[in-house]
Amino acid sequence: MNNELYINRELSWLEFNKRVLDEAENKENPLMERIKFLSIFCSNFDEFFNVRVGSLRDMVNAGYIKEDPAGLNPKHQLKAISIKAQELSSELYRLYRSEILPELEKNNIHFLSLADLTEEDKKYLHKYFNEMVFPILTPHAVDCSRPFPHLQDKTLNMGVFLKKDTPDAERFFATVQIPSILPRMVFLPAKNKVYRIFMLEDLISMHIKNLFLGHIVISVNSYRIIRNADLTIEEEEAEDLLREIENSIKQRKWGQAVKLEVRNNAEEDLCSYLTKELDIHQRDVYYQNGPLNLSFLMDLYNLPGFDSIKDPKFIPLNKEIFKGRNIFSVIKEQDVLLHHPYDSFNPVLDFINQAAKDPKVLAIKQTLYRVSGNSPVIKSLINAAENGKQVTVLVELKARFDEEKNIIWARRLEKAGCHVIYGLVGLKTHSKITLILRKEGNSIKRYVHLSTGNYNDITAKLYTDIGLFTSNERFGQDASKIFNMLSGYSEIENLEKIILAPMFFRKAIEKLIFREMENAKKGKKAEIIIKINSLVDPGIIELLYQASQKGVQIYLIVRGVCSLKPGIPDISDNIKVKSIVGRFLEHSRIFWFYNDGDEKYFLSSADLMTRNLDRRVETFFPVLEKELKKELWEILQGNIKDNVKGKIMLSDGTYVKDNSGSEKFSIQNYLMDKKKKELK
Amino acid sequence: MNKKNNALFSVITIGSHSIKMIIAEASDEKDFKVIEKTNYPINLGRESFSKGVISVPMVLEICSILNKLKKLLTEYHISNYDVIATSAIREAKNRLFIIDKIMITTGLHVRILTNAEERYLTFKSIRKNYFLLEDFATTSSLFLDLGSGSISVSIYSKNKLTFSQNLNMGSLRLYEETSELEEQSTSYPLLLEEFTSSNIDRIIDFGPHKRILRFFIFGNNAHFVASICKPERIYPKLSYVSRDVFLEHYEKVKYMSTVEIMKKYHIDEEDIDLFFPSLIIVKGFLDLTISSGIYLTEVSLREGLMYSLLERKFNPEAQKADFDDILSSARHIAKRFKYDKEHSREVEKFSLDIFESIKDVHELGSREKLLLQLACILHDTGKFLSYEKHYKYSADIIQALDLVGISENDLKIVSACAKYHSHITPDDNSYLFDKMNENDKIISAKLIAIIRIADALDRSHKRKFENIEVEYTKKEFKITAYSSEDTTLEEWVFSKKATFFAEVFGVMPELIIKGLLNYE
Repeated sequence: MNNELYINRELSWLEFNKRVLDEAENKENPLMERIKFLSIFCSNFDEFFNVRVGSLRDMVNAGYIKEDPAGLNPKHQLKAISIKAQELSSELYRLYRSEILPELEKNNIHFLSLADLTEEDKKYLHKYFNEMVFPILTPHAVDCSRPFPHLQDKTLNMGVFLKKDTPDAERFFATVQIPSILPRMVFLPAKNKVYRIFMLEDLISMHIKNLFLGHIVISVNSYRIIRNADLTIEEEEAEDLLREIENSIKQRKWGQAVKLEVRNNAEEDLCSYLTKELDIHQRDVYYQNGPLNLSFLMDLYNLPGFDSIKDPKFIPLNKEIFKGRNIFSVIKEQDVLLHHPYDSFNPVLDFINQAAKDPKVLAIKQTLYRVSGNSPVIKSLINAAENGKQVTVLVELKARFDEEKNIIWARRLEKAGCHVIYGLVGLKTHSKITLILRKEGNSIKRYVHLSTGNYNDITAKLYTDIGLFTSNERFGQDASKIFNMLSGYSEIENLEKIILAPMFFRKAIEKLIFREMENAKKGKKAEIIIKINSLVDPGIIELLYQASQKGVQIYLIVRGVCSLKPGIPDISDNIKVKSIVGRFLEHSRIFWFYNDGDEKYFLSSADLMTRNLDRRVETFFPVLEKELKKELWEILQGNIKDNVKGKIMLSDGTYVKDNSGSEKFSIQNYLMDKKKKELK
Repeated sequence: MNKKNNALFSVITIGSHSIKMIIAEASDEKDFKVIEKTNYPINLGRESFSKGVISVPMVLEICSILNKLKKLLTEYHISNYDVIATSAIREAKNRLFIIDKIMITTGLHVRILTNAEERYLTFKSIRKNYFLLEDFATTSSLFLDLGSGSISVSIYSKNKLTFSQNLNMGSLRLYEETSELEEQSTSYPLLLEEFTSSNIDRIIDFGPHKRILRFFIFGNNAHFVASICKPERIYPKLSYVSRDVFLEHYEKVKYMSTVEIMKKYHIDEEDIDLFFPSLIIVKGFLDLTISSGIYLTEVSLREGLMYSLLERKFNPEAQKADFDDILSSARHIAKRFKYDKEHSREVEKFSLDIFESIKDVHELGSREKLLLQLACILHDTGKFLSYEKHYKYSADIIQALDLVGISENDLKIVSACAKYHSHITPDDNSYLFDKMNENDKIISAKLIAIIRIADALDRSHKRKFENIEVEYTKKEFKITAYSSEDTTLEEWVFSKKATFFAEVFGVMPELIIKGLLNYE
């Protein structure tokens, strides 16, 4: 593909995070929501550096110089990322200082500096430091016998230059890691309902001498490092990378620092010292005009009494159809869609919970990727196993950042007698599917739940996802086959309804797009609407370009990374790309094809990324019932109409607000209102 | 479907290149609904056919997969199931250890099927599906089961099985045996063609029917035909491709490289070795028929096993149709040995009369009855070789037969019946008896006792008795025979042969002759 026609995924991701920052900047959002976006922006950024930048750094170290479809080799990418990320970082602190802080003050939340403290405050802080902070701090001096310590990823540290209190003593460096169990914000006793906050690092700074008795402290500053946390080579990078690294004599530098954050008033000495010790490029040092790592602001969101500067509360609603009925008899009668978080996640929990108790249920099979800490799903599964059901759980240990947590509850499941499978070698299991086998009368009936999102009751309140309940025999058989494959009982045999990645997904998508192209060629109406989170796969992008050129009208609603360039003359005239970043994280994946009037609707656990298409077990499944199709159509149309949170992507990869439509319309607000009305 | 009797059944087959499972729901023996099908590829045949043994790691893999499938059995609470193994394990020298290892690690008892049983079970599946075909009842059809280890050829003529033969030339075995050729020669397909046809030509000489109107193929490797020429589906489980279309593609493929073939026809690398051998075998047999094309059927051993499970559960009598197939093919074999058809009939009739009337005494079932009938049909085949000690030759012939649906042990029983039908009294260490288990010895003895007196009743091969009546009480066993001829010979022989019967059943049989013309 022509390089010009493809946007590097990392740069596109940075554009996405910029849209998150835009929401923090957006004055139409209540203050607390803006703070939340700010905090999300920061944690997103950390993960990005951990994984994406880390992985690029691996490539550079291995001497891997292959270009991405946009024509950038890893070195070029790192450089471009750094320019953009520096920009965003400055913007973040500008916003924090000039807009957020003043707004917070208006709402009686004050961040204090040393100069603002009264004697009384100082006394309070002194006591707090001595009792709560001092005992758990461990200073670490660096000299010829004590090397620079291995600092933990994403921790906040104090860098101190000091010397012994003797006339000709030499200057040396010491570092103090700030334990993350201590709250970043120290709340001083409130006065007249005004919150007064002093930052933890400032408190430590104030008392730094206590840690180094007999020394003279020359300077003290906070700093923070982000490490390469990508301990497994990301599968999305080609296998030849792996070979490259194996062949390369150079060892990968595990956990190498990829980003250094310091305050912008830190002295030059500290930076040059740290860049040397951490072996980090000057380009990767970020000078922040404010406290490092603003994600602590999330704690403000949870302060009591600020409802007026938050979005009105929304509690997911229980779908009418399930009320007071046995969930299996409901699903037996018809397929049901659940659109979270508008629809409550409870029916999914009930589904498993009822199955655990139901004497007719023989077996429960489920894939689990990321579940919440104290998951009711896990409890139900354990309960089911204890009730003598055959419980098979596929646990994906490779879920990034969740590995440890996953191992703990996987053991608990095993102890209870569940049959736990730990994923397939080389294939992450990303599909979300539950199968319940029930003996009704004397015959077997299968109930299936398929979803675009994880079995996580917490995220189901924050992410938009769609789940499908069905007792359709064909779905049931397919689900059995999928579990038999995942359990290693069988190779995959022909599936009838559910389309599985990596075996069949790409082909299926290609076929559906081809069909539209054929129809367009014949002069028939040809349209595609796809709502996903990321569009990266060059093959699919190329095909969409071709479809556009054949006259297929394509509307893409891509929340995050989009490597396709819309609206390029003679290439993608007929493609529109929109992104919605709202209160709920858009996560559902819906595919619609006009198909010469016989419209096809699909839901998917997969994004259009090469890894999802080729290296993950994913499910792509049709929605067949007329009523349910209507629901999906409404969602898709609402997304297209959204001119409140919707942004239109331009050919250069940047985004502008969607100003179409005379009336303001937000799909998320619309659906919340609609559900509330339905309840009344 | 009658829900009350609904039950779940499962069949697990350990084949030469995969372990498969089927779980089905049924309420009678006629049909079933598949709930699950699994297929786990594992290349047992490769080891078994080339090295003669299956290696320990492979055995452990079998155990591990069986343990997994067992979980499915538990999941569905299935108690009606069968685990069977076919040629790969059957032919491994270490088969007994394999079976034992599986038993110890999984608790599953694996039954090794003989070729003949395999075919018999497949016929079950054929019968369920194709007897419905128009003109099946009036013409001849050849069924080719294209396995990896072995193939089998069966001919149905006017609804009856008339010929059935197993051949150790499955696709994988053919490949393993000729793979040296592949390395040495560039025209491997042509050589393989020659090699194959030289094997096939001789078989069909046995086949009684030259005009075979329909050619059916099925089995593990039949799909290769489908992959090169897309057959048209004409019935739910039947597709068809014309001879011309097949041959056109066949000729094209012969000159293509394996890489081209894999790409063009989406053949997996692990399957490509089976590709040519399979097509060449099909072509070889197609040439033997006058069929207008190839019928691809979806019958399978698994399905047959399932039907047999269902029959065991719902309707043991339903096996009769299968028995008819077995008997019919036995008669065709006997014909090859120029047997006295009328005498065999007579002996069979008398044997059955006796068998039925003393059911309470012998406590044998329909399967043993079938063995008795087979013995009656085949007991004199040895006369083809020599009149002297013909019973000995009969026994040898029966031992060498590839009798559909009959296990090796059963064949020994039939063989023993032939060997001892005349006058020698067997004991524990007699020929054949020395290789039987206790149970089979008892069965054999009972059947011998019956066939011996039945044979005596037609000693002269003249069918002197119109019919007989058998009357059994605890103390007496009376056979009343009606005849209008001089039956002195029969009476004399009967009295000599009755002793063994008495030894076995504890009652001395008594023959009462009633003349039809002269009153007594």
